[in-house]
Amino acid sequence: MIMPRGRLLLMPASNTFVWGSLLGAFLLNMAWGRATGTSGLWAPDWMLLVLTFWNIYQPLKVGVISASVFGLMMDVHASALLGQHALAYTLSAYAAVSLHRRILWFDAWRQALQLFILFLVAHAIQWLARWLSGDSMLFGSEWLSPLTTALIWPLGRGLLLAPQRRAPDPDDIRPL
Amino acid sequence: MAFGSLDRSPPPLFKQGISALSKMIVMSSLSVLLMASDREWAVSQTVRQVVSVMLFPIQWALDQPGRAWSWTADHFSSLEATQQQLEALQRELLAERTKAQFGTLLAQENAQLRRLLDLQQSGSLPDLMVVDVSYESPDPFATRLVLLKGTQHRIASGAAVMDAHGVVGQVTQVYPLSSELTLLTSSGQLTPVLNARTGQHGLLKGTGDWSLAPLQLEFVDSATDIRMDDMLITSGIDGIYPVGVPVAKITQVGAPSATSFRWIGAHPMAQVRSLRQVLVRRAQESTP
Repeated sequence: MIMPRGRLLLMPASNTFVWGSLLGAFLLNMAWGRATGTSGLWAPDWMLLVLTFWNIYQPLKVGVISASVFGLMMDVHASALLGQHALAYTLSAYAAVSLHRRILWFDAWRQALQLFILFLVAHAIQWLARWLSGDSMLFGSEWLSPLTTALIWPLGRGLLLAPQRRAPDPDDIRPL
Repeated sequence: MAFGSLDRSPPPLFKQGISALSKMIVMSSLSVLLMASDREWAVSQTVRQVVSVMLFPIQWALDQPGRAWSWTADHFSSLEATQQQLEALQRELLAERTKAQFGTLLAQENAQLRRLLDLQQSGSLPDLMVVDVSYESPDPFATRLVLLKGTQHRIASGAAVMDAHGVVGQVTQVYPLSSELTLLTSSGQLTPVLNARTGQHGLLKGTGDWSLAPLQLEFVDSATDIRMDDMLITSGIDGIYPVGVPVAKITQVGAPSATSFRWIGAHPMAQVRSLRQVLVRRAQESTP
């Protein structure tokens, strides 16, 4: 297998952590949405971030279908048009799964730059779908969300990869 | 394989199930179908109801920290403050009681006069229920609040919602255990009103724009008598809101023009920006 220079050999990802982090991201989105309402739309879309991360790093575990199911849950929570988040997450998951071999070659910030476009398209799809269904077009702070999601990517990637970076044989000197 | 087929991808070495492309096509057409059918067909409603019931325990759990905080804050507020609050409330209660007695007297008189004139009896007091507001939904298109009661508590879609000062809005989506309230100030929301001073009927439309005026009285021509601080009340012709509930106060009156309607801005009487509890009009027992 050809590996980029400097890439670590990682431990296998545990299913509990994968699904736990997805659920955690959904709860975070829910809690943020409840706390701030329409004034907090500039914040990162944690659900999109974590879904994209697992689509890239574990495309066999978390794929297109999981993304659309979480999207549907977001729709009901946000009392948005049913299918709006589902469509955006489905398409972004497909893009992430198709691009995952390419994206893995880059370091965190270069990945963030490429994923920014993916996040932007995912958001544009949502507002476009609303526009087509008869709502007005938006030009507010919600367009900042893709940018903040991309900016938080290096941190999120580090945190989500951390459990797989542990040593296979932890001991007292090297507990992690 | 034919010659010149380098651009084709080889067949996969390992069986990985359905390809991502076909999954994507199926799921996105499903989403598009749901979007197209939302608010129109029953299928989307069923999906919404099921997911909402599944999410209810999470919503309930997320409500608890805030509630625990306000409970603790209440618990440790000083004795003096509580006594002051109690005194103020008692004074308010006394004032309201006097008004209520007077109101009963008037209602009796009114009923008697209506009987004498052979008029139809006006409706009785609406069946109202106090409901907690859970949170504001993060959808940028309309201001919606999520309420913690649903069809299980006889809340129906379209039910009128009020607070102590006036009309708040309407229930636009009901789930078994929760419901969504669209504020009257939400963009595009319509409320039929009556000018309390002149008796002129009108249509109040939400603009969603608090910097100018959150409400706009539509189709007012230059001949109409309208002034600042005029009170708008519900007309009751929609059959949704009870008659005579305060809705809004006129705060902006545009200059009359010969060709177009006048711009009339209004602010709601209800405290729609800081709602913790609302009154919801319950559906009649007989309706399914």
